[in-house]
Amino acid sequence: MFLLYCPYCNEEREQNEFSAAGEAFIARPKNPEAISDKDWADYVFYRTNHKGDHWEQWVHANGCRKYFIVKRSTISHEILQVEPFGTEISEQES
Amino acid sequence: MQKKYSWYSLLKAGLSGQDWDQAIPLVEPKSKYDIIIVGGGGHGLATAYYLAKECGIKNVAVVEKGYIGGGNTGRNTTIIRSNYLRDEASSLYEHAMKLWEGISEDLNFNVMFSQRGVYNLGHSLQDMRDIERRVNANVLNGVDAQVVDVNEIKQQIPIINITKNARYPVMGASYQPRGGVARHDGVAWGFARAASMLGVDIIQDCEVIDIEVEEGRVKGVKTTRGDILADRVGCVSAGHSSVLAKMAGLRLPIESHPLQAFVSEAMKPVLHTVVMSNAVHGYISQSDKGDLVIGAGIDSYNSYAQRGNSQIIEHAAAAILELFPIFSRVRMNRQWGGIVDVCPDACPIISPTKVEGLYFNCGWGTGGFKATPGSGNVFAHTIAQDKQHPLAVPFHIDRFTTGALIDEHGAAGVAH
Amino acid sequence: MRVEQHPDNQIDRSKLITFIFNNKIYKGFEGDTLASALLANDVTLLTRSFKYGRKRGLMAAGVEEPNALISLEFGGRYTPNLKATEILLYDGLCAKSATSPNGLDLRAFIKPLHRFMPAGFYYKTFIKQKVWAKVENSIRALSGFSESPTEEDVDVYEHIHHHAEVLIIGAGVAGISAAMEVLNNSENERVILVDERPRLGGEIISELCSDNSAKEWLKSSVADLNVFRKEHSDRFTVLCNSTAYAWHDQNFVEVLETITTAQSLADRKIQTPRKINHKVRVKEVILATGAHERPMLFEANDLSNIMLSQSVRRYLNEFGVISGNNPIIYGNNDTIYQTAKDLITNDISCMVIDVRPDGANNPFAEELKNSGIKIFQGYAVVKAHGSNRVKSVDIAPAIYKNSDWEVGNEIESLNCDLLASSGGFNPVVHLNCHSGSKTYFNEDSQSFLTGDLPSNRQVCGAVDGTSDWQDAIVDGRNKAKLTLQSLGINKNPKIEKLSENHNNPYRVSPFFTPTSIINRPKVFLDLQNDVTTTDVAISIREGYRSIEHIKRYTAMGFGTDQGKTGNINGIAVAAKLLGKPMSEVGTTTFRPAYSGVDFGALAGRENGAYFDPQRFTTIHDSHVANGAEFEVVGQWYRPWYYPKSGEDIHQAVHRECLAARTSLGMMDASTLGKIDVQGPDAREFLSRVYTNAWMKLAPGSCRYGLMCDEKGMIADDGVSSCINDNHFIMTTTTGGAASVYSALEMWLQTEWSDLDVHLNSITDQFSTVAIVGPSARQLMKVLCQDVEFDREKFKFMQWRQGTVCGVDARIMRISFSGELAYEINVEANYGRYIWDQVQALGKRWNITPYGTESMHVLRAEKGFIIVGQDTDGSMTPMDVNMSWILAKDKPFSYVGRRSFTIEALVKDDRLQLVGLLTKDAAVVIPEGSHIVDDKRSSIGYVTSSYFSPILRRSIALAQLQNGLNKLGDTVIVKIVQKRQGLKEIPCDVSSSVFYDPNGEKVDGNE
Repeated sequence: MFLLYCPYCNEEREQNEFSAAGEAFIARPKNPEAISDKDWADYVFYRTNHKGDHWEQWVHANGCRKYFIVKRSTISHEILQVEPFGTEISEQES
Repeated sequence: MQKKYSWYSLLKAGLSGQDWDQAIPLVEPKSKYDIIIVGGGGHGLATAYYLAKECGIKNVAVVEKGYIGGGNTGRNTTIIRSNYLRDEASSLYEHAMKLWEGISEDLNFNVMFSQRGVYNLGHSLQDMRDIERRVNANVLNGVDAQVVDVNEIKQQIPIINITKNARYPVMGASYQPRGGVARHDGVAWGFARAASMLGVDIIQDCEVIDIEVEEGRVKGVKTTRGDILADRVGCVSAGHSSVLAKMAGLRLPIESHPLQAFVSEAMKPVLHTVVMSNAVHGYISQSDKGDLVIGAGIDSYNSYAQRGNSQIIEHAAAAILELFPIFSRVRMNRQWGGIVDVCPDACPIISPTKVEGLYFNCGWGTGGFKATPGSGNVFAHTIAQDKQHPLAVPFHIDRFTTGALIDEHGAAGVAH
Repeated sequence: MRVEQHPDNQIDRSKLITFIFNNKIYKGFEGDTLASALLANDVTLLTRSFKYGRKRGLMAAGVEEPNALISLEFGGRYTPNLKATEILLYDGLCAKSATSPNGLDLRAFIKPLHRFMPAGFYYKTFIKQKVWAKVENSIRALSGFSESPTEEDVDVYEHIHHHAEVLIIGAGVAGISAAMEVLNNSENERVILVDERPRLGGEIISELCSDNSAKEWLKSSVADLNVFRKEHSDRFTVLCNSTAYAWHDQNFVEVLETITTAQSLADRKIQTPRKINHKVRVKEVILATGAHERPMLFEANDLSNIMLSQSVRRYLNEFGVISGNNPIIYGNNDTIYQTAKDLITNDISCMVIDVRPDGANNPFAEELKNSGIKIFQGYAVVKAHGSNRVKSVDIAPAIYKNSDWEVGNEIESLNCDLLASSGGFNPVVHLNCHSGSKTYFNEDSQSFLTGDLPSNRQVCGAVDGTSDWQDAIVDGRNKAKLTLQSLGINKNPKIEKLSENHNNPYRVSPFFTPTSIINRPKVFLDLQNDVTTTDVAISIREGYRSIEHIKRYTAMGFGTDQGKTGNINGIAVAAKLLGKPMSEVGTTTFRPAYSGVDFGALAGRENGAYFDPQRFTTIHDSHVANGAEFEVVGQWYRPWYYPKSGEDIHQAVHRECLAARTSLGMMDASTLGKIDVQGPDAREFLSRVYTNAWMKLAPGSCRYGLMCDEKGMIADDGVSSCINDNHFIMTTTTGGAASVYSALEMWLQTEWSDLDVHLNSITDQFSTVAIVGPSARQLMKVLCQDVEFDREKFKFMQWRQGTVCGVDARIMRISFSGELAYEINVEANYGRYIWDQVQALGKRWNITPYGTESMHVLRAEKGFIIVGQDTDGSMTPMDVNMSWILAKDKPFSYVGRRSFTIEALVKDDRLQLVGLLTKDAAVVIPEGSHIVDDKRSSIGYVTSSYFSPILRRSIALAQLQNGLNKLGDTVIVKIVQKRQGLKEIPCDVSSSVFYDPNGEKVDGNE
């Protein structure tokens, strides 16, 4: 029941307008055929599922339909940072 | 002191000021155990119980960061059924069902397992195709299941709305007569007491803050009550599995999500069975106290906060009113949330890991309670023999690399 | 009974109200609650308790009431489990006890056995599963309070969303004071003030009769608020009869307002919502929820007419009601003296028992003594006597030493017909805890108070431990100033000082939990669930020591009152028994709802037809007129089949299928998902999301595509048309449209931002009419003159722009039946017009509308899969014999491709899609039946099964282990459900293409 700021609409809106779209920084391997089954599985299935400050993707599904990234506490639900998609983030989790 | 529960001991205790023995003794952690089970929920306690009872390993500790049964065990809607689609899943859940059927006697503790039957409703032609497929699979696997039409449903559950006025009218259902509910706290306590009586240490208020690994082998755990050594460690901490995995340098194919439920104020019995609907997304039963126990859905975002979006609760209430419009003026008394591990194929992981001596039992999603005795049983054998119990084999973590997913997801129409 | 009228009573004695309770007629006044009216009529036994069936009366006057559960009204207005204290009286009200106190009750009948039924009784009994199965229903029958409703609700419920700057919860002194401060010191800030009671003022209403300054303050404050409300209705909202029941993240508070509170049934309008669920999002919350009094503990403290002291005052001052002539006031703090004073004012003599051994140092006691009231200081009530209703109490001397209470042995008996007790106050911190805030135990006030507050919230008044009303005014003002500061308005708030003893103005003594009291029987903590002190003791003795375990083992606080009066006493008892301080024992978790919320109010309007949006095509009305039966697909209503009079589904489908195969059929295909794909990289994009090649598809052409997920499993399929090099229109399955669209957006935005492609969902913008059958070309020529339809000019899998009956159209020559077929796509609003034209002009060929069922048969005859029916999220393209659609030479590793080579996807025992032909052509296999091996194990199952009218035999599609290598084999389908007739059906495994295997029909008949 939190509010999210959409960096494209430049408005803070109810969470219900948005859809969670999974952990951020899970990049599709550039050359899937060149990597092992294990690494492929890591991309498709394995997640950090961090407890604490967590970078994740959200999409303004009932709004501008744009994806963006959010740093949110998975403990308190506090929104700590919101950035347009593609913003360079130095403190990525592994 | 009254140890064993019986009519005789109740009578004696009644005459002697209720002089019961401790069901869950307060113990200090020892410095070393053969096996440590991390997580004092139903699955963890059941694991410890079966280690002591069936595997002959009694030097076992269950470490629990809060109070036993305080996680998803005490937060779920207690539905028990085994009518899963895939052979691997139905074998595991049916193993649990058979244990449920003798569990109170086995534990000398009435967990109030009530086989009042479970209906899984279908609301579309495809729902009904899926139901037929699943019921047929169940029958072939020796699981009691049948397809019932709307008129039979109405006969058995007179208060249900089967008219066309519903947005998604009921078209039929699968029915498992042996399914039902149990008293969730009682399950945790029953296993804890029985395990304690066999020599297992149940250590509450003891949070694991690190898992010690040396040269690829587990050495023990660091806890808020000191370091405890062990040859083997089994992690059964739904919701927090990824957190524990990280301590041992592992990643899991799991995400933690809030799952909510609520109960109404207590009424005289009016609903005598369990009704589940995946399509409108609500499940309901009435407890022996008289409150309606209603399960809602999960939130789509990751969370460890044990609370979710109120829209999820509202949607579940609306879904229940679709099925039971007469409950409109019944009031919600209490709502709560748990944290569930969600696995990509909606099936659990019961598996060794690449760290020797470290095992994980997790990923039960929204449906773990019903598996409690079965899960504990196969996990105990898996740890004791360092080899997966035959029923656990399909649930190896490597299935995400080999692609041998069990995929109860794909089998739509199966609600949890 | 009523006392003499006082002008500050809140009832209107000139307005008599008639009501019915337990089949008897009573009178009350406007302004009464059902509870006050019953007390006025000397009805003191209202219900029975949960476990022991003990007869109980009122204990409190508000939402904290544990006993007085009532069923209200009948039929579609029947409401279970209301508290008599929360029902405002209206004319004609009809109520009855949730559990009748009259007659025989089995639970009470077995009274001698109660000692053998301690907490945890059922865990220790009926341990044999068979025995439990037998007795459970009988035990169950004793449970619960009211009966369930039996009829549908006649009322409706609304949700209203509010956005404001400040929400003040509780309109007692602190809340009103805070509201005034915020309103008077801000210009634009919107303020919402809510209170669960019908009137503003909260507990101060009890002071009005005795305290003129309180009266003046309330009068002028309420007048000011009302003026403000009138003049600034845009920024000030007051909601009475409104309970804030849940507080979520970021100050999202849910407030349930009862609209029809005091209206007689005749005055209620059906469309006026019964309740409104207000969804309030604010920047700042000020919590001013007050405190609930807790009772003193002694044996048989559950007899009727043993009430809370402040509740007795409230009944007296607010409603002019007292339920006894000979009251005793008992407690551990100074508020009991005010209760005594109020009684004396009303000419009711009373005695006071103060557990605190204050001697002559208590000015309140001295004052009363002087007026001739008997006061026992340093005495405790140890036991109450009476059958059902209290008749006398035993008192004994009590001393507090070495941090513990001791009770002497000299018992004295005092007669009384009402006992009012006060054991201190429990601040209503519930809401504050819903959103994660913790409490701590404050020794001064002997209560759990809110700990460190998250930002953007304030707590004031009694809930903050500031109970005296004059201090609460200041506290409310102070917290309002801090709120304004947080809003950036009051930069430099001047915080006023509270009086010195503001934290414990009533000098509440430590919890009175001496061992000699705890060990007595029938010292009730939770009256609703019959939890006693000895239950807590047993729980701890057995090792259930965490307060959460104690709660769960004994059921303390699980009732509809949520333990508002009993829980904190329970914690005190546990603390005593565990030898731990209160703070270490802690509270159980406070969860929403603070008080009950009707399911109807949770659902709001999203009920019945509004449960989920219904989607209809623009042609829908015509389908209805044509007598179609509908199938729900996703949110859509699609025609399933069009029965003519007397036809069943089989006959209708037979007729529809043959029409399409031999002459002409037509179908509304508008529900298929349509996605507009535009941009220079559109081709590359399609190549990445589909398994096949798209780089060379010419403008004017169409192509079927199969889409997988990254697991390599079939996710969707459909035909895409190349409009020009930069523009494609993709179609998806009806049910998959939304998920495909979001998946595509996700790929574009999160992975392939280098691609210049834009997507738009255009499902609703177009209507699609499919014309299917060998005569389709003739009809198209009639419908459209500016397109050449000759087979060489307009080939299969091409599309043309044209004018159909004067409407711009894209005509696609694609087929899901194997017949010559055209799909006419027009702007959605022309859909119905085109459909009607096609139907009229197609009459020559006996054009026949067909629905989804015939569509399924026609496509199955051709072996075309339906994603979601013939696949289930675990089928690869290879599994459905569609390896031909996997492009080998695409440079980009399209979605899902990498997974095709992992171990489990190349195993040879995978389920694969095949055709099944029953040996007996007339037998149609039930869908969902399994194919078994000789060990009776499933080796596959039937996904689709029909009787094919054109082939005059049954056909089926099935997933079979290694099926593609079993073509020609005989397999057994085993029917295992009695209702389908237990039997084995031998079948030949065949190609999944049953009809026209060489595709000769696709060009039609000329």
